[in-house]
Amino acid sequence: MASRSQLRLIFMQFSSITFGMAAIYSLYIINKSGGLIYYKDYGSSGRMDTNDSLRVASLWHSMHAISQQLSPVSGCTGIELLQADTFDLHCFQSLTGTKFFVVCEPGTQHMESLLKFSYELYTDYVLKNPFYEMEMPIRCELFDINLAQAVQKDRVAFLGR
Amino acid sequence: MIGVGKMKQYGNVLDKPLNKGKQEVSLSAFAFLFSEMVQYNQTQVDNIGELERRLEDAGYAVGARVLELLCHRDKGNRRETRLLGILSFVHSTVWKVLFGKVADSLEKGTEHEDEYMISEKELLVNRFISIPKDMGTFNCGAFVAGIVRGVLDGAGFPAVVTAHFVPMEGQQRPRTTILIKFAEEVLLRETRLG
Repeated sequence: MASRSQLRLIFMQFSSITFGMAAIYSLYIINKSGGLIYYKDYGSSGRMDTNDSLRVASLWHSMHAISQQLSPVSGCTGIELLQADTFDLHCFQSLTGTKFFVVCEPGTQHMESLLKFSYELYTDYVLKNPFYEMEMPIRCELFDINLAQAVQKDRVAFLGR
Repeated sequence: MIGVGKMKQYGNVLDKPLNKGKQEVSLSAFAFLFSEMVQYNQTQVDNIGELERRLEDAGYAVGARVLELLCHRDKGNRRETRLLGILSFVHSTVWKVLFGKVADSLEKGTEHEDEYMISEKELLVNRFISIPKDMGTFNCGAFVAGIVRGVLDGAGFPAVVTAHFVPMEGQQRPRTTILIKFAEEVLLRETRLG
């Protein structure tokens, strides 16, 4: 489990990418054991290096699991939204335990539908691809193309309608 | 249908009209089945050429059956005997039954007399498939090429059929071209028939 100083480090890194123009900073997909299988940066500045993105992914996985146990209500499925001063983190967990989360500008709308849509793309272009190995990093051209289209700003707004 | 109205009694099973059947199956179900088929065949081979051949063989069996069925259902037990006839049969009738639409284009090869091409902007079997970089020019359309070969071979038009990715100008994704190269005897017969 990450110490407090580590947490602060990660959060500082997020704040460094908030100056980008895009409303969505980055999108992550983590497998059921907490390994990062997909990471895409959409911010124009302050990109995160590979190690940091892996750390964020496993950190989020642990925090998500702990939140489920600490929750005062029964049947909690984990954190869905984390709001910080400089970013929002929306998380969606599929039935199989694969987690999708997006880091975006505070107050960005329609992120739930974007996550649902990326899940849909994942089931189509990743799981139906015979050359994809389960739980391994995603390298599928069609998934990249379709996700890039979905993340485009107007597309996000369109999905929310 | 028990107790619903009065059903017409047919003395002979062969007198019954051939049921058109349900026209569509789930695309997802097909995609998963096809994906598993490719994955299974991948475990059985050492190289990509071998995988392509196995997919083609799987398609060949489908093609042979499709020809039989469609000749019986749509053509009153007749089959095409001319080159252009069978090509347009594949391009429209077969394609429509298998993929729900007519193929995007049917062209004659410019360099060789015996070559024809059926092109699809997005082949149904390739809808969800991204080929990894290390597999080079491999195309899962080999399965469809096999279907085409099965139909042609069954109809008496032996040919070598292959599937290729062809990059398109202004398009992000290449299209798939099914290249048909007929055997010499087919062309000789065709000229004899005039």
